[in-house]
Amino acid sequence: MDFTFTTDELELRDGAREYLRGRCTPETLRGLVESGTADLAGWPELVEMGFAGFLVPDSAGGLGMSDTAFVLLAEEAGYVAMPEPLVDVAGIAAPLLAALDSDAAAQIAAGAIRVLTSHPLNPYVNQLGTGDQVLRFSDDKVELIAAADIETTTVDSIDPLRQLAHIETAETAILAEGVEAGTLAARAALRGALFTAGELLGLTAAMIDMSRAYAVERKQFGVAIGTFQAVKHHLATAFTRLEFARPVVYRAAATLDGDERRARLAVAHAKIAAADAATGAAEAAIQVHGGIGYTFEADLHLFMKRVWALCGLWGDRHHHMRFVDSEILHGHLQTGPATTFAANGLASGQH
Amino acid sequence: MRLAFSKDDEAFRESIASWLAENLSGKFEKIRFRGGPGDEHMYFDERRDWEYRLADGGWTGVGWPKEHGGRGLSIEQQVIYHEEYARAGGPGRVGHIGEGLTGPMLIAFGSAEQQQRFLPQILAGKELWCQGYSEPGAGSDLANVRTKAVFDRDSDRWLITGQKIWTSLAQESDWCFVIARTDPNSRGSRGLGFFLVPMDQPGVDIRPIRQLTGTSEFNEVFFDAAACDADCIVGEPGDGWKVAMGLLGFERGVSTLGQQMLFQNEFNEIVAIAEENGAASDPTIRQRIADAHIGLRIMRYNSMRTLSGDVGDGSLEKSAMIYKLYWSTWHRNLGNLAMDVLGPEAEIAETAPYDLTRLQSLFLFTRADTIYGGTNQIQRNIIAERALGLPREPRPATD
Repeated sequence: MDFTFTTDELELRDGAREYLRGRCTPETLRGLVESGTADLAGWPELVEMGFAGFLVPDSAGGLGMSDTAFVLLAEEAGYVAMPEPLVDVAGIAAPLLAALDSDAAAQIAAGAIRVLTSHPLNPYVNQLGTGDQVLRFSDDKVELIAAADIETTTVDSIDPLRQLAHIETAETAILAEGVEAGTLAARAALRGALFTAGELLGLTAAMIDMSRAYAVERKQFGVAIGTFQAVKHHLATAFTRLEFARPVVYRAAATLDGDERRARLAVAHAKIAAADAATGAAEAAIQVHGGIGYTFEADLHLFMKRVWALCGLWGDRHHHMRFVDSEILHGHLQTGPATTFAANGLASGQH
Repeated sequence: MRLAFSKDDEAFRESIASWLAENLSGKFEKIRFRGGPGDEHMYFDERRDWEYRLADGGWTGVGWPKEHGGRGLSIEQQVIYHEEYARAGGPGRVGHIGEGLTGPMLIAFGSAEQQQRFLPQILAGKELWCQGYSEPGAGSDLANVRTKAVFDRDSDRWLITGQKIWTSLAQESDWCFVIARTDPNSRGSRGLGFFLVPMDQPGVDIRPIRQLTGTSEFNEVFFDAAACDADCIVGEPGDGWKVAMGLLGFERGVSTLGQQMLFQNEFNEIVAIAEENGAASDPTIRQRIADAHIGLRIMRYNSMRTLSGDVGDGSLEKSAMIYKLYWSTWHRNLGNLAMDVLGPEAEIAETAPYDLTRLQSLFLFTRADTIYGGTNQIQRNIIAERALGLPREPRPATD
């Protein structure tokens, strides 16, 4: 048993952190909001950093990193509320196309194309740009839609940095059908929910850090407001939720390649824990900021609105909770010492 | 205890309901259910006309005493008035600060001249008011007011200099009541005065604050030697804190019942959506809907009890103290419930650019409920210290 990350993974995270915090600052984000665009036009840089091919094997020109490491990357993207569709392209489409031996995986890693996703859980495509392709999942097929063939209507998100589109008509190339398509769609949903949970952890950490800074700087009654227990406790509670959510998300990442039901259960738990930590932190952060936190000029609302949007993506709380409760009540899920690291959490004899 | 309305009361209900049905139509149809909290920037001109219509019908100041031009309604009939107003979708009142705060404040603390000068204009819907309490450095620590009032003997006027914040309806208002420091050497709640300041003058600069909803209901107001006449101070210099706190007490009056009817309207909308989109089949959503209903009833009973009058044991004052904390927390949870009922669709705005649906606005605006008018943290301190008599929290800068 080892809940730690490798030195390689941590170095990659630190590199990503330094790069992203320098590049995607709150000032940059506010500039994007004011100009009405959500495109940093920085995708080539992300490709150069190796982010696009993070999960693509070395042989196809990627970094060949693990899902666990990608969670760390998603956290860093969340921390700066990065608008680019990193999870879609690098976290979902790239490894799936690589597993299908599609050339598209290498093209993503090389920055030649971006492939976004559309899924029954998540029908709107985020950040669809000219030249982008879309991997569309439905219950009985997986299709790759070429950029030139897409007709869309745009949809406004409550997050001004998410630009959504609904695909109206498209010529498609079918990648998989029937049972295989269902398996791929389930796999995409697992990765989507897991990495979104990673982004939520990062957003949570960012909101806590901002609120901490404000509680130290803002004075009322002659002292920093962080002097008062009522304010301290908000942040301590938010921080506790965050730190308790982290191992849940990491554990889900480490479980992803194993038994499917066990992975599904772990990811459901991860999405719930991360979303709860994030919504709790958003509520606490606004409360700690007071009236200023309610303004458009303060940075906080951009993070809080991203949380709001991500909580509904790749299955909302109720979607995942339903899976957890049915596994416990009808799925013969066993808990206890002998089952902690069992292949699928099922008691022997009930497989 | 008698938990019913009399025959007279029911006849009164009929009269206000039919007046509303007749008048809240035609050109006023589009402002039904609009202009409430979170929506105060909408349809101002129409709502201003509506204020005149109400005044013509004698439906402003219904709870004010008759000798001050009000309708002098009993508590029961005021309850009925607010219930029927909200049920009919009566729009957010542009005159609510004057009617609910300035008027009762002047009746309690103002001079006879001030009452004669201002009350009829409020009742007629002719003069609108805004509130100048909070400052950038005086939020939860409201007594830390820095705005100064200096008496200028040459012009025989007070000159106000400073900055106020979170002032709603500032652009539309004719007057602002302002707490400002009359004694430059004072600190905290001592040495303050309470002023009635005309807004239409060169020394007043209003800048809208853009909120996270994308809209601007609140403003910053800058006073640069803004003048008000010598007789526009309520009470004496130094009485400002007493008047300001007395006024805050009026906020917890009968209008809370109208507020609860607005909550009921929001609740009904959420339930209707849950039934339509299937969310109501989810057991956790069902329970939260039931919880929300229970909370609404609790607020209602508490308000009725508060309004019924004091039985002499101080319980009334305590039941008023707990109200803000309870409703703001309940309402914030209602906002969360609305978004969970909508599910993934909660992310989708109505139209570009950034036009939110009513429920999205509800969710965002309820984030502010637990902050303005005394944060939940301040409310808990008040309850602990004043209702329970716990020692005061250390407050280093003030006495």
